[in-house]
Amino acid sequence: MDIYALKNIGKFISIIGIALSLFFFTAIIVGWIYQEDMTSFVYFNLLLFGFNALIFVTLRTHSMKLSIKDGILSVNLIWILLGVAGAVPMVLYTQLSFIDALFESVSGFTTTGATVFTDIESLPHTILYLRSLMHWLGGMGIIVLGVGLFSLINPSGSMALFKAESTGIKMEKITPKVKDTALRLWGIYVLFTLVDMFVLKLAGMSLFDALNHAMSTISTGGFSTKNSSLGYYDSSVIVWVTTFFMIISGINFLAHLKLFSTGKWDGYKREEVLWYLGIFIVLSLALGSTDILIDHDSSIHAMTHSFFTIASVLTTTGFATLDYAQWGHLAIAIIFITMFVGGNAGSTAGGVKVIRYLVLFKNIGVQLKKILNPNAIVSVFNDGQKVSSHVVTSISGFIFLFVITNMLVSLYLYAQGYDSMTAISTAIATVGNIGPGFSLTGPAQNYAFFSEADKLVLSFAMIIGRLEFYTVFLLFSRSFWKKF
Amino acid sequence: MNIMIAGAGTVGYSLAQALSYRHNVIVIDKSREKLNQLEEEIDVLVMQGDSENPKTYQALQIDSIDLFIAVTDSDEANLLSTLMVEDVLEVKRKIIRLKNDSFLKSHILEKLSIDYAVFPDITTANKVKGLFTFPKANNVKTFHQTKYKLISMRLQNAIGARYRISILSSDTVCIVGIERNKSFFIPTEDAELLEGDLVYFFGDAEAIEDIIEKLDDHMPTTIKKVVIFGANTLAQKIAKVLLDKHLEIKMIDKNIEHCKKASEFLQGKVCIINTAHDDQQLFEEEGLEKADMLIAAGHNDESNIVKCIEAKEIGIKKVVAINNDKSYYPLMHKMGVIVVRGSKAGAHYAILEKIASNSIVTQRHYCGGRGVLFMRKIYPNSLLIGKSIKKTLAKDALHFLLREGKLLTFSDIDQLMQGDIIVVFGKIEIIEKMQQWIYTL
Repeated sequence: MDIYALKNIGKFISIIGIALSLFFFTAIIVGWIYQEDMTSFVYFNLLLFGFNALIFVTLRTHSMKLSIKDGILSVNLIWILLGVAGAVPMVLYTQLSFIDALFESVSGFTTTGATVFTDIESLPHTILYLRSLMHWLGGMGIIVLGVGLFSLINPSGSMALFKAESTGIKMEKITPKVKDTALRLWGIYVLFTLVDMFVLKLAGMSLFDALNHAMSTISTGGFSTKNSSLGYYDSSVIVWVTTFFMIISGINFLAHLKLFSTGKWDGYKREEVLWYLGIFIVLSLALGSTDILIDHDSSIHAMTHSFFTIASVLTTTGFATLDYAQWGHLAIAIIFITMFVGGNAGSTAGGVKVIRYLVLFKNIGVQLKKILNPNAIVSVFNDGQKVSSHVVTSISGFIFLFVITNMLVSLYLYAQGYDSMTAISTAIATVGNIGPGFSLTGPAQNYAFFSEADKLVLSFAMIIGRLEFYTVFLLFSRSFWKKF
Repeated sequence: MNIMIAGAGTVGYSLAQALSYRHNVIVIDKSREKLNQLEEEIDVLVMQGDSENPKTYQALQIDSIDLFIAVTDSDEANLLSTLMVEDVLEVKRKIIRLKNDSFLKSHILEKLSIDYAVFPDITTANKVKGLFTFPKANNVKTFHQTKYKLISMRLQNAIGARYRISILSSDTVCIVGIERNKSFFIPTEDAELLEGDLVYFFGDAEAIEDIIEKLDDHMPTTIKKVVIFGANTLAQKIAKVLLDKHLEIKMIDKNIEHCKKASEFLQGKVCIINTAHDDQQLFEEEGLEKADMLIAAGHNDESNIVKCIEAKEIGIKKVVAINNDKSYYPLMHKMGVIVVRGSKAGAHYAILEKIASNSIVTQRHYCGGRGVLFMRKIYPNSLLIGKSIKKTLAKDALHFLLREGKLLTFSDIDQLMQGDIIVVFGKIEIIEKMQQWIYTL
């Protein structure tokens, strides 16, 4: 690590730090509106701003050119530092220990939505807003924000970062400059959030709750301002509105961007989107039928909550309208399948993502064909385009890392003495950035009971999942640190 | 500016890289693999498709572009694509690269309303020819606004006394760049020239020649016997332009087809040797060591360099390598090899300079793209007439005013007059500052 690389990383992180502190000022405004004592937050935020501004001003003449290694290291550092920066206000304003606050903050930024707070409704408005803000910033990706900001300042070399936040799947552009695509994506993101907020307000939420739930929904996070999540409102309008916005947030944002900039729907006519919607409908109907047939629920009630639950789990949001863990084993099995799927690439959702399954299943088809006709020339096609074998290998590696990480986390939890359902489901819920699992971490429960060591492991699992494995695991490879 | 480049080959890639910093660039190519690489490394939008097919352009959801650059491998595709793109999009300017110089004499470019065509082989051949007018020079650049030239020379076992820059400079010549130990800098007045320096003179050609004469008694003053390695189309064109100079030329190539074509093209006026065996023997057999100059004009940069070093070893004093990879420049300069931009690098710079220049301001690169100069002529209706220049670009750059064949500094004059030319030289790192300065005077 030479001084040039350090300067690069320092400058980039300081830009993110400045942007973060500016967003944190909105939390201070919220606190000020609700007449909460903001003194220590103001001091902290000024410190955060001042420190980063100092680094930035010191390095203002340094012309930044991030190499792939710098990019990967920066991204990892940024996610850890975000966790720390988000934890401090929570330590200042609630009874949480630092580790608990770090868990909550990482859970926020990674849009997991697992909480350690036992009584959310007693929290100050500032903290409630801050949790939603962390979701909202983490959802679109701090890096996409960074790419936008960074290319405003320095119009070159931003590709390394775009790659670092999501490996394996190529980030498409619809404008020549990555900066323009990034900024437009944020435009769509803001628009969706405002529309969702407005509709939720009309559906009966208070403005504050509508804003928070909108931020949490569009980012597919899952933090709520109520203890019983969306179940608190007992309104099927709110449930359906949120279902709709969760589902569209799980679709590739470039498709939305195409619709808004050209008025054409072809962004949605992709195999991945169609499969995603298909999976959503089939699993929702299956879950609804289970509820109707086994629990003899009324069909409208069952379907409302099934569609909502599947949308919530599929998009890795993690909202709950009721304790679906009580629907019986078949229902749990259906939801479990959903936990493994995830949303679309390029969306705010986490998880494995539909495109990866699509490519791997198609690859299995190709392999079968190859066994039957050994001389056949076959390849995987997606949306009429050939998927290179490099991508197929990279996706296989991704699935392998996903399974290994889940296995290690669940074995760790199992070794700590938790039951197997808790261990397995919690691992997936954190690595897949979903939030609620089953048993002890079920939709009606929270993560407060875990020990501090457990929380650190789970925080790490959330970051690994958010950065899609490769970016984090690269740090553990010897060749990453080797100079030659 | 919105720029579209058809062709993601060497030239297309390097243009996309250079232009993507300040412009929105879209690159079109048939090959998905080339585009994938481009997309990974450069911030541009790529589009797979045939540049001769209007459907390719329809797929892009835009109505107009400011500049279309056709640099695919085929002349026909380049010509056709300029028509096709205009069929779908509104195009403001069109630049095209052509290999076949017969297009130069036809009216096709005007008929297709192409604004600028680059014939890189001819440019390269003329560059080589320029070296004969100034036999001791490494490189000669001419400008359309002024008779002044930018001429470079290498100081090798020639200077007895040490020269200060201030002694060599006059009101008709100045030193605007030195490459020393592989690094390029803009010299200050009290700097000294050292052995091995590559020095860039800007000024009146005769005055520069006098100085070069004084500094160098090593290089031959006249060149009569020339060896050209390679008989490809570029080498043929070089030989063709050199024929005007009444030289003895020998051409050597391994490829029999190239040799046959060269023989036809040059109508037997050049001795063309086809050889399959090793070069050392050839040097002796053909008496090549008696040549005054060797030009290595093969397609491969590396083998051109090796040929030049070999030739230097056996005592040919002036060796010229045609090169497309600018990363070799410092190495070649150090080896005493004169570098002439090949067709790919030539096309790259010619197009870049054309884009950056307009009727008022000219931008040129020198020293392997590490130095850059801007020239602005004061035309009769210029708003600058009667104004004075107060703000200059600190010490990183050299500024001059050219008036009536004399180099002046801005403190020498009260106000700008019609016909004045403002020139500024600097390192490539400050190109943006320089550009801003010259446009916002």
